[in-house]
Order: sequence, then C-alpha cells, then structure tokens
Amino acid sequence: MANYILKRLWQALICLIGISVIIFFLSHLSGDPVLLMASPEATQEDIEELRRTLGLDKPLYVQYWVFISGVVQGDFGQSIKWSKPCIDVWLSRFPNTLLLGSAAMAFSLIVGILTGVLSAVKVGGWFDKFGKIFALMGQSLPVFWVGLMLILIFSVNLGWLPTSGHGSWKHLIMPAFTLGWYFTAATTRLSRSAMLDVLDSEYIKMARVKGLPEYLVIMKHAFRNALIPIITLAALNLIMLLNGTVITEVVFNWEGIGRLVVDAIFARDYPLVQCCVLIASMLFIATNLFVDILYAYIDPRIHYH
Amino acid sequence: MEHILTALPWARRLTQVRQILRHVPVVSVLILLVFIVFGIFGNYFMPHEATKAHFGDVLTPPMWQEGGSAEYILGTDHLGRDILSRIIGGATISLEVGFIVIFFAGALGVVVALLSGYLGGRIDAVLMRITDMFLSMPFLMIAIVLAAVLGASTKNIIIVLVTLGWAGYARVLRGEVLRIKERDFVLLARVARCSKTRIMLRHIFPNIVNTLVVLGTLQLGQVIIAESSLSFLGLGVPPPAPAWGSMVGDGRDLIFSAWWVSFFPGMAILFVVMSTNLLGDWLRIRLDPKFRQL
Amino acid sequence: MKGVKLAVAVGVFALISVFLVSYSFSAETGEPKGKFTYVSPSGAWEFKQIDPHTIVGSSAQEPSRILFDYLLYKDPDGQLVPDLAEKWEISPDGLKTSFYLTKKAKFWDGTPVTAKDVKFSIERCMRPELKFLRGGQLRRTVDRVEVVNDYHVDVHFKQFDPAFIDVVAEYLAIMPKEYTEKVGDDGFAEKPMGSGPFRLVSFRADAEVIAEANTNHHRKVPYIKTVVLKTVKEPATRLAMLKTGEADMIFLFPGHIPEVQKDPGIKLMWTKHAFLRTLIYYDMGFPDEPSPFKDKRVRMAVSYAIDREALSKLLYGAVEPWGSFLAPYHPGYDPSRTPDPYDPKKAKELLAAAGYPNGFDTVFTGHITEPTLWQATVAMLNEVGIRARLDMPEAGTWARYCTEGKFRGIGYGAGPWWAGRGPGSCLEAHVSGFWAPEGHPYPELKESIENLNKAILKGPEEEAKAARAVDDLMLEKWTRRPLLFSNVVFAAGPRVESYQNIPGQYWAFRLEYLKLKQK
Repeated sequence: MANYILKRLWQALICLIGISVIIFFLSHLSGDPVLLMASPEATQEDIEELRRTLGLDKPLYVQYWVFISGVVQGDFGQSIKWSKPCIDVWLSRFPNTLLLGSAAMAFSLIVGILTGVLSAVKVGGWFDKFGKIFALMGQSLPVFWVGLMLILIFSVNLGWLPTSGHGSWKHLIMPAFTLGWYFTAATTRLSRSAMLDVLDSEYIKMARVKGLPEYLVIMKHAFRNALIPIITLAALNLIMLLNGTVITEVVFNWEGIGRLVVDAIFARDYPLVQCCVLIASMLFIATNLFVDILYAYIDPRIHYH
Repeated sequence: MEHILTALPWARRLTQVRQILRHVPVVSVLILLVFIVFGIFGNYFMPHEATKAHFGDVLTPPMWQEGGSAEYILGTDHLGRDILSRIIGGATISLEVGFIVIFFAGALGVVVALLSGYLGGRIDAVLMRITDMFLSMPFLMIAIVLAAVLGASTKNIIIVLVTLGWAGYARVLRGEVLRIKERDFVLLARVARCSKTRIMLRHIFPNIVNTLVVLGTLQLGQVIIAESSLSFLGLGVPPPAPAWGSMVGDGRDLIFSAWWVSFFPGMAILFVVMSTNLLGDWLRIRLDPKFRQL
Repeated sequence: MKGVKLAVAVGVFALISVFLVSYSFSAETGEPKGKFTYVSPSGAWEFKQIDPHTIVGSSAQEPSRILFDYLLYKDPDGQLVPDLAEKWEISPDGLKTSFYLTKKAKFWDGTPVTAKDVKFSIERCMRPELKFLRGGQLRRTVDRVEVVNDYHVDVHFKQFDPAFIDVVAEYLAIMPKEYTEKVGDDGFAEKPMGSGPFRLVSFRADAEVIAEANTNHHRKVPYIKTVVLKTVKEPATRLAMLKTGEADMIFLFPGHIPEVQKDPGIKLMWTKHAFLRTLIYYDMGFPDEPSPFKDKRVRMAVSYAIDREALSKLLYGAVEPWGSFLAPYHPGYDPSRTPDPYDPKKAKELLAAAGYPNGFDTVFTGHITEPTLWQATVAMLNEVGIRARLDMPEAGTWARYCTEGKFRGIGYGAGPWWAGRGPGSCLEAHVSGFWAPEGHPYPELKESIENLNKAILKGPEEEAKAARAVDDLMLEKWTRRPLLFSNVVFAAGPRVESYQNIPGQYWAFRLEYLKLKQK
C-alpha cells in the first residue's frame, strides 16, 4: 500500500511538471502583455524598457526556471496586471468560487439523485422519461444562453432576483442553477445505474423476501450502497466546478476564479494564468489520487496498475 | 401465424432487428438524420445564401410574428442574414468540426490506448503520464489559451478540440485493451506468432470499436457545446461562417430585443446535442453493458 | 399712496427675488444627495490602479477622475479649463511650461495642494517601475521640475513636447507628497488620498469603487452624495441591470440602442467623436511585396465600395460617416470635407481599370469588439469583388500581430485613446505607435506632422493651418482613408436628470456635474 501511494505521488509530480511546461510555453506563445499595457504612442524603447521591468526580456528557459523554482518554494510569482503575488489574487477569489461551486453541486446532487433514484425504482416511469430529458437539457444548452434567459425572465420581467454580482443568497440562485443544471445529467445517469445495480443484488432481494416495506428497502439498503460511486463523481465534479465556471461567472459577474483566468488570459498576465492553471490541475490530481487510494483501501481486489 | 413466421430464418432475423430497434430513441435518430442530411446537402435547402447580408431587412422577426415575412421564415439577424439558412449552413460546420474532431481525437486515443495497453512497460508509463497530464488540465482555461495562441479559425478550433479531446478516449480504451489482452484469442494469436501490429489491429481493435462508438457519439454533443463556449469568449469559428455557437454568441447581445437571433440556433444546439446524448446513452447500454456506470 | 404702493411692490418683488435667489442658490450648493451607480465594461481597476500613476493602456479612468484633481480639466465643449492650475503658460521656445496653482484646493486631510505636490507627482510618473502609461514620454522630454514658490511650478523640457498638455489634462493626477512618502507605494494603493470631488469609501479590485462627495472640493461640490462604479463585462447583463434599476447609468453596447429607445424611462447620452476609424492599406508599408493596393485606383475602389451610411444605420448612430482626419474639436477642421460616397459601380470600374475585373482575394483585419461593423464592411467589399477574408483577433493577438509585423491587406486603424485630444497627437497616431504598423509610407507626411508640432507654439491660427495641411496631404495620398467616427453612448435610467461628458471621451467623466432628479 505504501509503495502504491508513493508511486502515485511520484506520477502526480511528473504530471504537474509536464503541465507547468505546457502552460508556461503556451501562455508565452499567446502574445505579449507589454503592448496591451503601453500607451498607443509608445516608442520602441518605451516598450523594451517595460519588457525589462517585467523581466520578459530574458530567454524563455531562464524565465521558466525562475518560475518553476519559485513554485517549488510556494511562490507563484507576481501578477503583471495586479502587481500583487498571484497566490494572493487567487486566494481573494477562491472563496467566491467555492461558494458558487458548492451551491451548484448541492443543486445538481439533489435534483440528480432524486431523479436518478426515482427513475431506477420505476424504470420507464414518468420520472425516468422526463427527469432524464430535464437533466440532459442542462448539458445540451449553451451555459451563457441559459444564464441570460434566466436574467431576462427572473430579473428583468419578474423582478424577483438581482441580475448579477454577489452579496445575499438571492444573488446565488441563478448562477448556481445555471451551473448545477449542467452537471445534473451525469449525476442522474450515475445514480440511476448505481441504483439499478444495487436493486439487482442478492441482499436487496433478501430484504424484500423478508417482507420489509419497499421505501425502507430503497432508502436504507439500496440507496446507501449506491451512494459510493455518486460521491466519487460528486468529488470530481466539484473540482471541475471550481475551475470551469468561466462562463457562468462572466454572465453573472461573479468574482471568482473563472473570470479571473479569462481576464488574465486576455491581458496576457502569464504568471496569473500559470498560477491558476497549476492550482486547478493540482486540485484535480489530488482529488483523483485521494479517491483512488480510498478505493484501494476499501476494496483490496483493485489491481494496482 | 406468429409461430410459423419465426420458424423462417429471414423472419427470425426481422424479429431480432425489431427487438434491437424497439428501444431505439426514434426521435433522436430522426433529428440526427435531419442534421446529417442538412450538414451534407445543406446548400440545396437554404432559402438564402447563409452569409449574404441584406442591409434593408435587418432584424426581421420570424414570419408568424408581427413584421415578419415569408421571405425569412425564422427572421433575420443584425446584418439581415436569414436565420433559417444560417442554421442549415451551421449544420455543415458543426458536422464538419464534430466529425473531424471525433475522428482525429478518436484515432489518436486508439493509437495511444493500443500502444500503451498492449505493449505496456515504459511505453505505457510514458504515454499514460502524458494522458494524465491532458486529463488533469482545466479544459476551458487551456482551450482559451490555445485559441489565443493559434488565433480564431475553423481549423484552429478543430486543433484545440482534438488536442484536448483525445486523452479521454485513450484512458477509457486502454482499460479495454488491458482486459482484452488477457483473453484467449489474443493469447492464441500470440502463440501463432502473429506480429504485435497485427494483434493490435486485427484482434484487439475490433473489440474496442463498440466503446469507441459510444464515446464518439457522446463527444459530438460536447464538441458543439465547447465551440459555443469559445464563441462566447470571441474565440470560436470566426464570422461570417454560420456556426451555431457563434450565432447564439452573437445573438446574446440582442436577447432582449430580438430573441429569435439566438433562440433558434440555441434550439438547434439543444436538439442535436440532446439527441446525441440520448443516442449515446442508448448505445452505451446496448453495446456495452458495463459502461452503464460511466 | 402711490409711493406706498410702489414701496410695497418693490418690497414684494425684493422678497420674491431674495427667496428665488436663495432657493436657487441652495439648490445649487445644497448638500449632495442620493446614490448613483455607473456600470461599465472596462474592468481594469486592478489593485494598484487605484493609484493613478500606475494606469496602463486598458485601465478604466473613471476612478482616478473622481478621486484626484488634475492641473487642467476640460469643459463640455472640449476646451481646456483651469482645475488645480489657475493659469498656465508655455514659453515661446516650448522648453518651459509654467503652472500657477489655485490656493483653494486641499487634499482630503485638509493639507493644501502646493507646488511641491505637483513636482512630486510629475517625478513619480517618471519612475519606470510604476509602469505609468505615459512615463516613457515624460522621461524622454521632461528635463526637470522646478518649484518657484508654493503656488508656482515650472516644468523644463529637453525638447518641446506637443502632447504634454494632453498628459497633464488626462493622466497626471496630483498626489500628496508627504502622505505618499509616509505610507509608501503599497500603502497608497491600499489607502489612497487625493483632492478630487469624491473621497474613496471602499474599493474592491476589478469589481467596485464606492466614493462619497467631497464637500470641500475647490472646483465643484458634486450633486450626488455617493457614487458607485461597477465593472460588468457582459453587455446584456449591464442592460438588465439598467432595466431593473440596479444601475443608473451604463456604458451601452450599440446593438442595444433600439431596445433602450423602446423604454421611455431610459435616456441615451452621447459622447460624440470619441475616435476616428480609418481604412488602412497595410500593404503600403511593405514596398517590396507586390500587392493590388499599390495601385491607387484599387485603394479608391475599397473606399467607394463601403456604404458608410448603411454602417452608421446598422450601429444605430454609434458610428458616423467621416471624410477628414480631423475632428470637429480640432483647430483646422473643415466641415466641407465630406466622406467618400457609396458608389459600387465606380468601385468596379476602378478595379477593372486597375486590372482586376474579376476582383481579387485579400484579408480584412477588424477588431473583435465590433463584429457587426466589420462583418458588414467585408460583405460590402465582397459585393464589388474584393474578396476579403475577415480576421478579428482579440486585443492580445492584435498586439502580437503588431510585434510580429503580421498585418497585411486592409484593416481599420486608430483607436479609442483619441479622447478629444489635440490634432498633433491625433494625426501623429496615423504614422507612429502601434496603430500605425505600416509606419511612414512617404517622407512628406513626417515633415508635415513635424511642421504641425512646431505650429502649436505659434498660436491657434498657425496650428489650424498646419493641421489642415496634414489632413490635405493624407487625403491626397490615399494610404489611409477616413471611414467612420465613433460615438460613445451611455444609457441613463429615470433617476438621472442631466449629465454632460467631455466630447470625445471614452470614459464617463465629469460625474461631479451629474444631477439626479429630486423626489
């Protein structure tokens, strides 16, 4: 077991180094922040000077070395746009994204599990048909379109909810719904099949034979066991939500990581882009690792490839 | 009567076919058929040229609404271009982008999965680390950076989506290869001294096609959605090409005043993506029972 | 009796007038009231940029405008008026500019604004590590700043800088010397202090600035008590905020103009002539490469193929057809310079005469922020046979094209930093800086612009003459062509009574003069 964990940690490290190389060179290839910062009438010398001030005049491999040796010491560098350590900028936005992500997750779990379980209990029933359609719709509509439609209906026409920004729980409803809806389909699908698997198993048949009431069978015996894969998926989805909320955040003007990254990319703020992408990948890898180790621990039959 | 019919071989086959088809999502298949037909023969159905601007008929509402005309059934956009024609033309682009991405991402994924899964060892270790890397990068962030590096064009969108799409195939298919590798017929082929290439292509590959088809079907929808997300950020298929994603993206500014500009392409995306998802789900269960959990 | 009547009449009249005057007086100078929210897309209010000497190209300038004072200001006609400097003089050789400061201005903590603060601010702008937008220019031209007495400061130049006054009026915010030195650069960015019409209450980077009226302001005590500046990138979200009353004024996306016009509660507020859009024939900058645009007839055909009126209609007046390189607020502007007419037949004839009866393929580079405009332009060019592929890079890619020298074919030039400046810097933009990647296509132009810069010292008449000469030369040479003048449009909700921006301004300035309706 210890060997397995060590090996996985080693692999994760290699993976992260690879990502750092990719994102470093990609972002540096995408253009130069200097012209975006300089005034339009700046001369060539002004631009060279600005480049020197930002340390962008050195060869790329030197810049990479500076960047990666900083990261090893926990220093992601100084954001060009914010003139502040990247990690501070990231930390100032993370709570907002965490809030939105958790709310969206909660929505998708509640709706997804409910439809999934109910459609598994009665295959081909009302829930099975329409629940699935509803869940799939969230995945099939462009997120920004859903967001703008919600604003149009609930803010402009009905005047129930604020259009954007954050502050109260009211601000959270529309973005959380927009984002959560997208992830509902996966949750529904998984809870349905997990539930079907469990309902098919011997001990459920046993429980039924014993004459337990159906709701108890479902709630107590079946659902509990179906929960493990659902929680796994939820953990991975949550990480995705923490990184991939770009469009929802732009539409609802939510001050989170997603908007931060898009702005940083458009402003060619390399250090900030690198910082956000690396942290996002780290979170993802760490969660994956944790889930895998947990599984290996629970189920000794898992083969360590 | 029934009894007699099933006795006949052709009739038995018919019943089998009917059995298989019984749960086919008919509506999805029909929608996808229409989509594919429009995608291939779109030019013959378009009432107008998809990129032709009519500056005199800007933002004409759909024909059933006040101010609409039968000339433009679904209305026109902010440049006076016919929305129906653009949706039909958009099918071509979505189909093109979708299929090319699926083909190349799938092909790359298959190659990596075969090499990695069958050969194992160092090659496996290296390839899987690369795959892991691509899987753990935040998709949209990298897509934006890549699109910014390459610039916006249909070709570049395809490159971006292939670059970020193949790893998913590789990971899932490698698992398949590992499983199939241990099966008797592969061992027998090895005993018969078939070359590694031959075993991979002739013995293992046909057995992972089912999974490949399922993944591909599901990806078609994802490609369309991803393209629309990039369009929203100004990095999608560049105008004036009528890509659905960019149509919704362009029309979002008019969502309050001219709902039809973004609504109809949005519906087109909804129907096609939903159909691919439903069909993908159905195929998943049909072709590959153990995949129900994915 | 008559006398009594008269006396009563005079008395009543006097009373009424006293009442009226005092009423109007109290209305004019009454306590600032109400809260006003302005929402704009320019979200570069990053952490340090609340410090006005760190603004870069893409920064929004409203926050520095409400929090700080400048030496000079502009009135709604675009003319320079005194702000901190009551009077300013440029020496005949252009090597010295003197500013005489008002004695009334005070920073928020009550210390008076004096010459040493001005000297400190100019020198601070010149520090390279602050990356101030115009720092390079100041380092090149400013020799030293001399404090003559507390209210008189002289700026000495190494060479005459025709754009210096623009910098003074637009970017050079005056900061308190002692306070800034005490708290340091980081401390200032966290807790800035200025002398502007509003005091900072709170600030969330890239999101929100809240400020309150400064009742001690030397020039104008604002009508509104609280001003909130918000950043929202998505235009549709901004419009929704205006409609729900979450915003009182927004930076409007031109496509939303008809929607806003349907709503009787919303007013459009135009800032006319913000920046000129020209046609650029990029290939002219590459004398060794063959190109159809080397033939003047082809260049003319491009201009005649574009229906400027239709483009203007398509953007609901956010652009207007234009035929000169000068703006109405420029000396030397000649209203008789009309835009090129829309004449596709002539365009085709010109193409045929130049040897392209079947047209040719090329590229048109437009900017991603205005897809409608450039898609329509390209559609018009295609009509006459100039088959242009539309390329619309976002700002960063645009900048990369510049550094890599990638621009070819045709495109549009000049950009949103015109902002009502003098003709010198506006015309200069067509030949240098990154809106002019093709450089100086012909030597006479450089000469002519240098003439103009010299003429600025000789008085307005000479300046007008020289400006017109540059305009004439550029129109004659056809390496660029005036296309459209962009107007910036704001939309204001029912609570806003009156607002007048500086003409040509891209940002919403003069918020201290904005009046809300009293209930």
